[in-house]
Amino acid sequence: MKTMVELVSVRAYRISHLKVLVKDYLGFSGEGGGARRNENHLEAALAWLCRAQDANKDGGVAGRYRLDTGWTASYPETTGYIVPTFFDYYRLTRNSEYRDRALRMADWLVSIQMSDGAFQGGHIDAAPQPIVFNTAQILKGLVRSYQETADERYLQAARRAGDWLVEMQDPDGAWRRCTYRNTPTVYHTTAAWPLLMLHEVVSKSRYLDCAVRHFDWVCSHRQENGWFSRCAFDEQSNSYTHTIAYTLRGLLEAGLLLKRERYLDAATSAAEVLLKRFEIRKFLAAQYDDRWKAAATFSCLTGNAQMAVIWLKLFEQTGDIRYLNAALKINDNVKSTQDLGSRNGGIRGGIKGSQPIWGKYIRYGYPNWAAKYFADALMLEDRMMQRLEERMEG
Amino acid sequence: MKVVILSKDESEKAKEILYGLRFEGIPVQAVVSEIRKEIPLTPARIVQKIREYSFGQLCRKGLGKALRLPSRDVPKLNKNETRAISLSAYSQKEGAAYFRVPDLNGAESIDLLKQLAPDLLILGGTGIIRRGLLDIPRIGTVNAHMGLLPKYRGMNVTEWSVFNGDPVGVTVHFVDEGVDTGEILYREVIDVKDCPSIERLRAKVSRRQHQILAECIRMFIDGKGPLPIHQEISEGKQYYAMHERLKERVEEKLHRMFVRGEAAQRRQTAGNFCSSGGR
Repeated sequence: MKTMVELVSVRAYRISHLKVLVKDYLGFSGEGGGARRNENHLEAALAWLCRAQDANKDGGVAGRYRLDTGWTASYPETTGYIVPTFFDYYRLTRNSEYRDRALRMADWLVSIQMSDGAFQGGHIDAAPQPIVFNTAQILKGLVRSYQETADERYLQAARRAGDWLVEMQDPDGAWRRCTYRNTPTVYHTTAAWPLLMLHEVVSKSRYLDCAVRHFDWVCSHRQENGWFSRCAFDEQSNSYTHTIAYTLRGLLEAGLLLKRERYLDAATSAAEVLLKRFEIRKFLAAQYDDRWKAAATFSCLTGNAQMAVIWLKLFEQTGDIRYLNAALKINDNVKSTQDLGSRNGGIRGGIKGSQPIWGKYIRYGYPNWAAKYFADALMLEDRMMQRLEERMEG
Repeated sequence: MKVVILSKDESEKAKEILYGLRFEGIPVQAVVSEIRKEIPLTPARIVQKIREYSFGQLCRKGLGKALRLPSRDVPKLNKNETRAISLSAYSQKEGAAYFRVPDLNGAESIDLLKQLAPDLLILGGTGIIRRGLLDIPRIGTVNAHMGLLPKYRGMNVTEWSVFNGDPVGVTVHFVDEGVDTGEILYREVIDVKDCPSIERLRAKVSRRQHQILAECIRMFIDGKGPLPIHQEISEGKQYYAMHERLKERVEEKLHRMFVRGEAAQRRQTAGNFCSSGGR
């Protein structure tokens, strides 16, 4: 009965929805079969993101496509970090539509900045509450827009956001105020990293100091087995690969930008554990516990794509081919879950929150950040493969 | 010397080892094989199987099973035809008792091996072996590995060695609880220039690893067992199954090396011909 109600609520009577449910039930997607060339998958993901942007008229990108209610309102946080993806795709294809779209996103973000420099959490139709993590993700888009256009409006907005982030930080380096459930978490490394980006542009030590304070605080939460405590959305839950990857990515980028072995080592050792888990099981569970034991039977596709990016970056950095090997496999895995033929624009080219779609993470939904990280992973994979070819020919 | 081979159902490696040992005149007391776990036939698996085989092949296989038609396997003892005979039949032909256990690391297997009281255990295509089993043999458990330890542990190490431009080789080593981390008994580098493809390369390396394994065991029997050398784990890495796109690069590289090798050989032959005054 419960299943029936659920099926009705996700509108399983629509053919396109039913197809997704049946495919996932029978296990036809996510098994590595049916994947096509990267460019087909990349193009489809970008087209999905464009439709998500067009779903609302404000210029922001709809947070997700839900099987129950369709497109949601625009989501400022992820619109912020989708901006660099669109600029990257523009650079790859030279199709100016993507640059224009990125700038529309950035303009919308500037228009919704709060008076104190912060950005609101949640979707744009929620009651505005300033949130540290979300503000920092938007900072990525603002900095990149400034770098691409030299338009001072973006830099002004970025500085105001950066100043607010510095103000919100506690003396020990953690962010507690204006955070999700007012809980300090280590995945805010991915909020400290944009401050380093801003520092690169404006050379203000307060941004650098603030970021370093946070990275040091995070390193103090590193356990002997490479795990980080406070890595989940709340203390009672196990960590999703999504938040683990956020944590590692922030540390990795900080390690690379600041040339600090401590951060690099922390990111690398944890990335290596997940690589081993993935290679042995041929599957990355959506959640892990503090002993790195799988704590879910479904996959978090966003986390998978994020891990692909991290492994590819580690390959770029170390030349260790095992990282590229794992990234190729996990990208294949995500590719095989992407529906390229659906008539439903909310499904075609989108990436599900969970595989199968009824997994706990963004249940019955296609979040825009999954498509974003997937696109990033494919673009980076192509670059790394090209580099490999050059290396082998050389 | 009592030698027992551990295997998984229908492991080709176990058959190759049996063949190699027979060649060295080493009797095998028993083969203990783990029963293959039946994977449930889901629709996805059916689709996957159709992709792997043709529909007709699958129907024949399925019908054969349903009608209990006799297997086409014919016991042939030619080295190149070990694939055509089941492991149990091959073991029996070689005079080795054949046992099947549900789990090699399980209680049933441990009890059986305690009764057999082997001097040496040989791994013939098994998964990870746990301490309880490793403690049973008097001398130890040995394995032949298709890579040069300590640098290349894990899977597809022959391919990874070619990919990285390192020497290809084989290692015979004692087994501990890690993956290919036990003490090294013997290593040998193998020339790959005459291998134009991965398939040929793997066949060559595999053949040689079984010969070397048999030679090592012969040394133990003769009381001249090789001196084990401790491995420094930090000197190597564990590798995993290689992605198809990287395998393609290995194929290309092998082909290039092969062509270059052939050309060099042709040049040398031509040179010899000229210097010997040939016309």
